[in-house]
Amino acid sequence: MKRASIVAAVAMAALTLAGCAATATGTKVSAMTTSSVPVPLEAKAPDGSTLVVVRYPAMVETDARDIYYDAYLNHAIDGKLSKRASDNPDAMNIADSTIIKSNYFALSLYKELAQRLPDHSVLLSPHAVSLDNDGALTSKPMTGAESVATVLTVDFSTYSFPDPDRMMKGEPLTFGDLITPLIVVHTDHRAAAPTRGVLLSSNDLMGHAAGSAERDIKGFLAAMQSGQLEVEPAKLHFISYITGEQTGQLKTSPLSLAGPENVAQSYPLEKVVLDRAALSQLNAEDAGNVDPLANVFSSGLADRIVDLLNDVDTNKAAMMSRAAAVSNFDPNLGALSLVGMEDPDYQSRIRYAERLLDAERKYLSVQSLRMYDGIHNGEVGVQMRDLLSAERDVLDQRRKLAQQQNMATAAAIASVVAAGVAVSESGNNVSMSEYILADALRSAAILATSKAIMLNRESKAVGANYLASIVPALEEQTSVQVNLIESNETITAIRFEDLREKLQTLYAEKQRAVDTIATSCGYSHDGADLIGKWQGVCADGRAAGPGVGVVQYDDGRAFEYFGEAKNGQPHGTGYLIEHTSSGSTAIEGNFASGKPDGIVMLSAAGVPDQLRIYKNGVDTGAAPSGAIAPTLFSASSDETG
Amino acid sequence: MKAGFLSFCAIAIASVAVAQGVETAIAPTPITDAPLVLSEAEAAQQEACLTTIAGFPSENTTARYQFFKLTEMMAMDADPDFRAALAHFGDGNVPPETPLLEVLDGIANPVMRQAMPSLTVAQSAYLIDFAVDCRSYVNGQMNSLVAFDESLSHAEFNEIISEDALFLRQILSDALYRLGAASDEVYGPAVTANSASLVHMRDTIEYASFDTSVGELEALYMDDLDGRLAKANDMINGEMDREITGATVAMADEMSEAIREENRRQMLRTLYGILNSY
Repeated sequence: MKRASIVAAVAMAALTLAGCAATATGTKVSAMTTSSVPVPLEAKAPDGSTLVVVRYPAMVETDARDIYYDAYLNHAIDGKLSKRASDNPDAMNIADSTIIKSNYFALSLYKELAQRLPDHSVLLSPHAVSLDNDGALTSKPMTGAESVATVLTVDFSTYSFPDPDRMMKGEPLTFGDLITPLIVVHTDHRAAAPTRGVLLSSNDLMGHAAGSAERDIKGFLAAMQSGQLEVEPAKLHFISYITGEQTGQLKTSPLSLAGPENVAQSYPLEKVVLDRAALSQLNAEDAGNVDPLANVFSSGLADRIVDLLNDVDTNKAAMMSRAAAVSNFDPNLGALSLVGMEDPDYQSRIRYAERLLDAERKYLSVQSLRMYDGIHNGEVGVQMRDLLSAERDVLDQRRKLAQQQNMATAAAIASVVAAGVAVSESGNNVSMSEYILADALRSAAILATSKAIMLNRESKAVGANYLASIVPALEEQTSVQVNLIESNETITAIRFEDLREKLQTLYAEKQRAVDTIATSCGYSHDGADLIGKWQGVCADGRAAGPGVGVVQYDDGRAFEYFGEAKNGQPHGTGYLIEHTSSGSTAIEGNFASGKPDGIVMLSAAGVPDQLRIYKNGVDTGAAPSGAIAPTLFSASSDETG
Repeated sequence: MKAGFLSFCAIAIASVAVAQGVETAIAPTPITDAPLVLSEAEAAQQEACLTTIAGFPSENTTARYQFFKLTEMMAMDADPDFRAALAHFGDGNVPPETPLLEVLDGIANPVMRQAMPSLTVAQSAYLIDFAVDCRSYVNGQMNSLVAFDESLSHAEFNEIISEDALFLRQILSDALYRLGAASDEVYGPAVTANSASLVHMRDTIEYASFDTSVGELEALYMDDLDGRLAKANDMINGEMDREITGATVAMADEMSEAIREENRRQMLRTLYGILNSY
């Protein structure tokens, strides 16, 4: 019996110390690829706007590093970090490599989008992770790309669980031939009121995207109340996640080819296996043309983005940021551009302003192209590909060791079982030969177990050695990538300032005066006290013509209205968005004395858009088939209920 | 508008040069194979059209094209009501075979247009009538000229002609206003509508000029920017130490090899221990 206990103890040791080693597997076909089909682009960017801005973390400012590491480690995705792992300095290397990899792989998405969209329609917006005035972690755009009006914004980053000991397990990883992408695709909330602009998001970031959208709306309402059209670009959703910002709620559905209307699609967290054939060519001379992410992920995401562009009302999506940009050139014109005017003087003037915005957009797109070229096709790209190759080798080595370890563990268990059988069959009368056999099996089990333990240790050491040694290379990568982006921005900003001055002069010389200009005055969405703010055409201190109005109530409700107004309230064709703590809804069509009146389009979360008939603010039923709600935004005129 | 007016003068000078037999860029007028399809009115006007065209500069394709284009743009938005207004307010007969250059000189003459606005209207009507009644000939000639010399279709070149046409249309509009045509009960609406068309034309031309200026600035600055960024990229890339990755990977390999060696020794010790127990 004593021997049986020893054998059992050995078995336990074999199982607990070595265990069954994981081999860091991933999915070969991303859900993004299976849920997307290539479609031709039908959407057109409104004049002076771009179609997509790709945002990604590109650097961490020195004074923000410690807080970034803490945030990264304290808000790990898909698991909680042990105290031991938090103290492991290699965890910080993982946090650093997240930035470097995001910076590199965002270029794959940029390239795929640029291939599908017209010239100058996609911009790169690298972000610096930094501290805000209160010392809290945030991120700021490093270039002027987000000052250009855009239809869609895509947040892209890669992710690795920050425990070096879990690299070979099931946690998210971006290392070697594996990548865990995190994405959020959003538009302006005016173009997707029921989802507050969030169209598609990684499952883990969805709540933060919703929370961020809610804060953006509040920011806009506050800006409007103080007479401003422009709001600061939002921080990256990934940073919102790791800083544990307040989340919000949205109606969501799983990622699919034809999901329900007015819900945000949820992209699952997945470890995607990079294209192995492409990875094997990373050291070739023309490796700059090799993209191991394209076929497995970014091509599918780019297809999906084109599909979203086709679905979104591009005019509503870009109107606010475009108005803010127009205001920079011509403060009298900004708010008028939101809904436009028939007046020939206005038409003439806005055309000039749009031409300037167009010049700005093209200019910044050259910068994006050069950043892509500098990072992807330059020495940085070469070194990045060297790193990827080295990581792949490390991971392959660890997988091989894991397989050997599993074989050793299996051998140990088999020996233990065999020894156990030998002992139990002999009962108390053990012959010498039986004793020798059982002892030999026990020795074999010990030998196999210790081999499994050593292989396990070796695998971990290979990973730890790599992470510890690679620090100088990571630092070099960070420093050169940042230098490239910063020098590109400095040169662009200086030259752009010069160009803008000349454009301003041309604009002042050539455009004509307008009689009707945008000013600020009182507004109410329902004819009650004029507690709201109107920017647009005013008469006698109240809204009277085209413009935008906002009003906020103490109970948390808020209204945004874009369109025609009379006597301080909506009157004519317009678009009203109501925000409450439980969500946002939109109504578009005709208004009379502050109330919807006639055929209107209703948009609410979780249900398809509906055409309804309103009389003096009261819903009287569904509109007949083929009815059309009046709209100020041509792109939405073809919507039907 | 100044540049446009100068180009108008240049046309006149070129035409005078041709008339005086001075050799300019001599090129044969191309012949188009496309059949000319004429309306009934045009067929009736055939002789008059051909006679007028015969008076156009024939040995300089640029000047010839400029004349055709100018008359075409002069007649832009001239509907029958407006032409009726011109017929009503125009005074002074312009003989059918009057050379076009002479008519243009008459319209542009500052003294005549101040003293005799009705003559200015009549001369303009003559040009417009020619452009409308002989539209097929004018188009056919312009197409042939462009087919022969593609540079005639360049936007910048045509922009200059547009400015000349705008100048002439502005003179006509002023003359009509001075004759009280805008407030005329019968013809007033047509004259006002044409004034709106003139404003639109002016806006279009001014925007085209703005667009060209922005385009030039854009091209200049974008080329400059692209060059500077490329240079900066090269410089920064040049500073990169490419060996660093290889060195760090080699270091990691060495450390791992040491662990591997230690493991091998450990295994041997274990085996030795097991064997020793027997």
